Amino acid sequence: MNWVHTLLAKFTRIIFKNHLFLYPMNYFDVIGTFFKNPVDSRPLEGVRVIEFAHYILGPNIPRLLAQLGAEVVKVEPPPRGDRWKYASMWGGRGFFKGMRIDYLYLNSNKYFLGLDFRSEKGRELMLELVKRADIFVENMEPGTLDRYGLGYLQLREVNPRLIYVSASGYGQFGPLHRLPSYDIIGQAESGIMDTTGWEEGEVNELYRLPDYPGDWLPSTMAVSAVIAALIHRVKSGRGQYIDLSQAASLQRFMYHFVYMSATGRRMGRSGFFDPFAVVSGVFKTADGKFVAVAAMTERQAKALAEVVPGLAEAVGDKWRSYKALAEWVAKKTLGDVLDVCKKLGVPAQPVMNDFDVVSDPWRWERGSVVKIVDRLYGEIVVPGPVVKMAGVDLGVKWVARPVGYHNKLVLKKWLGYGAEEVDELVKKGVLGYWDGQIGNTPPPGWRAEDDPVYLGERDEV
Amino acid sequence: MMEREATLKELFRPEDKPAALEGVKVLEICGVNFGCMIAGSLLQELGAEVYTLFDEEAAKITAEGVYIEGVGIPYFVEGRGKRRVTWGEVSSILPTVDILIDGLGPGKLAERGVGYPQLAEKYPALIYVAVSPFGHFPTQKSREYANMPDSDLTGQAYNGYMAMLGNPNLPEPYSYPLRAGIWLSWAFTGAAATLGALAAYWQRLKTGKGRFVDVATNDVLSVVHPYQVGAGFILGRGRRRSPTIDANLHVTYTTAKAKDRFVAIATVIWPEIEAFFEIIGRPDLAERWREAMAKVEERPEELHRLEKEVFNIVAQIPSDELIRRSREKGRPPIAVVKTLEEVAAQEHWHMRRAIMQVDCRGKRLLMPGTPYVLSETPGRANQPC
Repeated sequence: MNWVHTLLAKFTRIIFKNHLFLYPMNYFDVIGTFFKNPVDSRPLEGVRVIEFAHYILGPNIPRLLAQLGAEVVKVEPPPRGDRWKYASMWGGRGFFKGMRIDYLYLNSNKYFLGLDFRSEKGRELMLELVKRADIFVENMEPGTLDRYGLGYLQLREVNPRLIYVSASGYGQFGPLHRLPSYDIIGQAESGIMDTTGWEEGEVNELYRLPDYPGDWLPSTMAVSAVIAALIHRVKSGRGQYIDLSQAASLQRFMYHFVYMSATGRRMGRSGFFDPFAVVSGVFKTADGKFVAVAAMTERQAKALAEVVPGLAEAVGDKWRSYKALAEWVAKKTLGDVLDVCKKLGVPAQPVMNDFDVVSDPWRWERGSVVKIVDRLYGEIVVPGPVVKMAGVDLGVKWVARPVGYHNKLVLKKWLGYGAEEVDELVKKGVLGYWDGQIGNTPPPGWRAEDDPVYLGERDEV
Repeated sequence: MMEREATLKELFRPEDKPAALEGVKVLEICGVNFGCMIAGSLLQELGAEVYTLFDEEAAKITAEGVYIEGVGIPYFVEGRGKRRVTWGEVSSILPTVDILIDGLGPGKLAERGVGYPQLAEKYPALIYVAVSPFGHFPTQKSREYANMPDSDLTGQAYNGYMAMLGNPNLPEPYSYPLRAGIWLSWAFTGAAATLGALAAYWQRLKTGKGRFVDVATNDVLSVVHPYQVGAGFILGRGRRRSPTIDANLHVTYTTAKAKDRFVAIATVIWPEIEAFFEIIGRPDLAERWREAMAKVEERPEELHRLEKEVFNIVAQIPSDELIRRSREKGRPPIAVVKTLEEVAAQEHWHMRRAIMQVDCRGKRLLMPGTPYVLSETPGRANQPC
């Protein structure tokens, strides 16, 4: 029956939204129509989130929830708050108008509240916010927030519908749970570092995975657990506690355990090979570029072997097949390699660096890299949304703000406070603002009296 | 603290509890796209009922010819808990499906009459998640590469990730960019597709309408990580690859060989960096490091010299002594880089069901469990045999 479907599809006329489409010629045009006019509301609009988190692991969860439309309030003790904002990056060059660039991205679309939760009034305010929240995200060392009456066991009494996420290296229970963690510790404890690097006799090195995937991947996975908990709450009426472990999240993708227990041997570090591909590696082209090639299936490897001398005989031996392919690649430019592999249906792509990524026309066309005009920090290039959703704009609306920037706006929206009440709480030290240090400051020339969002008179967008 | 842990252990007990996504039906048609399969798996672990169109080529993918229950290792892990279906059964399942995950590439399901444009008309509540290298959203590249299969290695390369991994000082080809030791790009792709599917499902509960969600393997990692775009924008060039000290922070956030084995040192903020130099008995290095760090863009060799000096000192100290000193001081976190064997033997991960032991026709196998630890709706850690 498959050929019938295929044949019919070639002549099928589809009328959608009063337009006539033909397949498969116009598939992309049809799909394009679904993305036109992204005017629908974002899926999580109406969901309220309190972030009590620092560094990356915790804050990336609300970042993605905010991208999907949730209203996120990042609570920080003034004046410094989340200390990640101060870390020097790229020899001090990582700042944009006084704020670090990755911090601006990581904390985009959030509202910033500078609240001293340790004072009695501060804690009272926090509990009032919690009563109105759907989700609470924290990543302090396990048990820290319990000491301030803000642990899950305490907050579920205040708001039984609350979905509470604790993110940590090892989780909230188990023999290792009290140990402190960062991405690199999660990597070391998960075993993932022992899979990354070379184990080839003369070259025996293992490496930390760069750019902190021990934070970014677990937190991205956690968002699904949060939304699943929201879905369940519709039926049950109850919130729940989500215990996210960095290391366990990484282990989820370590097929090495299966190999090891099935064979009694360890699966060596993979270098630049995909151990599950038939032929793979990173190669240098005639024009000095790096290209990654991965024939995942026998069919793909066979197609490649038809054009690469000596490859057919070498398949099954990773270094022999690597050498055969390397010799072939070395005589071709990157463009030639990509063209041939595209025709053969064999995955091959260039090894891009940061500048290649930000300059890639595909990314600009797709919206994976976007230039926005932030109301406070002006024109800025930002990463696009984690997924593209037809009919909805999930892009960055505004980037991070310094500590307490939205004090008036948040307390007005959430608790109905007037500007004078907020000023009074500032005088009492319950609320506060940024310290003006690099990493925690409005842009040069900013004037409080000219900023209606800071004054709580209007919203960011 | 002991009481807290005991209470939480009881709270998170998985027995006799419902799953969050009970009643949600998913059909995955993935081909050899494991980013797509991972999305189906994560939804399944959260409780969805997942049908998978069996693909022989995908099932054959494995390492060094190792097959279990007739399938390769990745399929053994990602196929568990799913119900295999054939093309002939797809049309009868479709009317009941909430989420369809398509990993075949743009237009492939449309050619069979079950692409989004056709299904959106017939089943307006359907959530359709497309997973492919360059997306289904129309761009020059998505058209040009519409027939190109997906792979994790090319995803890691195109996302700018491999360019930051490996040791450029080794002889060729060991000095070339490396991959992360897991399918990192596909893992991100799967995680993104899952959250996209669920966000759309959440909205459908309110509106009754389905939606098209487009995930591109070749951009997920670099839109979640902010460094590729941030560095490209701010520095106007690619960062330098560093196998040891962190290429962003330029601090000793690194692996290092202690006297007996590798350790991971987590220094991020300055007090941790100072504490680390005190731990190794060289507090004087803190100031020198600060100065070298400030000049790293113009004169990276100064930091490299200092780095070698620090590594030489660390190489004289046993790992357990380093860890003892860091715990005594309260910072920075330092841990032994565990081997796979050590990790597999740790009770902690088994207790949390992150790693599970399964009995497969008399053979005991270890495999990843589930990272989803939820108090009311625990993640499912499925038995594959």
